[in-house]
Amino acid sequence: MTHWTPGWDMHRPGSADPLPADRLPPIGALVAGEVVCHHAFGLGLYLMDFATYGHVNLPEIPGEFPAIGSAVTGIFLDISGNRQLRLSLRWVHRTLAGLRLTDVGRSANIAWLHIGGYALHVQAPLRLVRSGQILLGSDDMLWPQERGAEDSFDAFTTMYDRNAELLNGFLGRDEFLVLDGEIRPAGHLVLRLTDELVIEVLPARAGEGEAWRLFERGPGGYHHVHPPEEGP
Amino acid sequence: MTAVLIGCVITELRRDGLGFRDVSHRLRIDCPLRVTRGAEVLVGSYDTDFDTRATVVAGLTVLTAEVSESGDLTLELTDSVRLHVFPACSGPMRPWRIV
Repeated sequence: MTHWTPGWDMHRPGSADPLPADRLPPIGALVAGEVVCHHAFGLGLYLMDFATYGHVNLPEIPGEFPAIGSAVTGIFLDISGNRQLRLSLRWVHRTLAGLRLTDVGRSANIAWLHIGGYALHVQAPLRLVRSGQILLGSDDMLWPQERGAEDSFDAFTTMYDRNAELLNGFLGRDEFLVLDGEIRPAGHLVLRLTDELVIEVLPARAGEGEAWRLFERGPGGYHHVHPPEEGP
Repeated sequence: MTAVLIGCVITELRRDGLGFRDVSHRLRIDCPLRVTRGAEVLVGSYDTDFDTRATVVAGLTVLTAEVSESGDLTLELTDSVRLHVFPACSGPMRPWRIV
């Protein structure tokens, strides 16, 4: 019996085997889940990588409940009284809060930002704003530093490259730390940093294609991709 | 200024702007945009088949228009549809304007 079976309830005793201690993810790890039920006190997730179920309590759900069947990312908090995993969907905040934005750049048309040990790769409209002023935007890649220069994109001499270099100078001197972060509907990522710096990514594609991914740098780290990648 | 958009019926959406029925003004757009319904993107400026998908807003009416501190323009349309115009350029050019 699984959550695909009519009448199945993950809360019923014996409906899911508890995960052995040696198979638990480390506390703080990001895990992929599918929403299987909604309740007044939170929601239930099927955690496909562990073939088990987990809970998300109401305070750990930012905004509206994600729809049943939708793919979500959670951060593993602890084990609840009934031996099921307890997770938070406020993983952007819990993962990135307190980390420092160290540098920004691009590889071809993929913008990247390094935040602590994480990287954010963006193939969607992006901007870094401070007090209402855009310091760096993805459309800056369209504008050469020198009027009429046709090879500026390949030569890394667009306004984006100039602004990134200026910004990296500030980021090297001053600490810009993530205060808070959230994913709004349809993948709108917002990170608020110290000194009123705000990073925003707005996915702008209905068709297929990655808009952004946030991942732990180094081998083996979890990748959160928006929109979620299709399964095999 | 955006108040003139309220009540307007959309005739067409293109990457460079929004046209309306029976009025002389249009919204010119020179930055990214997307159209959503709830958590679903219906069309966005990064879509290669933008013009085909953009027909989804034809005939819808503008209910509200809001401008954020960063210069975003958000139009709430009928049928629970939202158009978000998202400035993403540091330069002095205007990301959108009513002409």
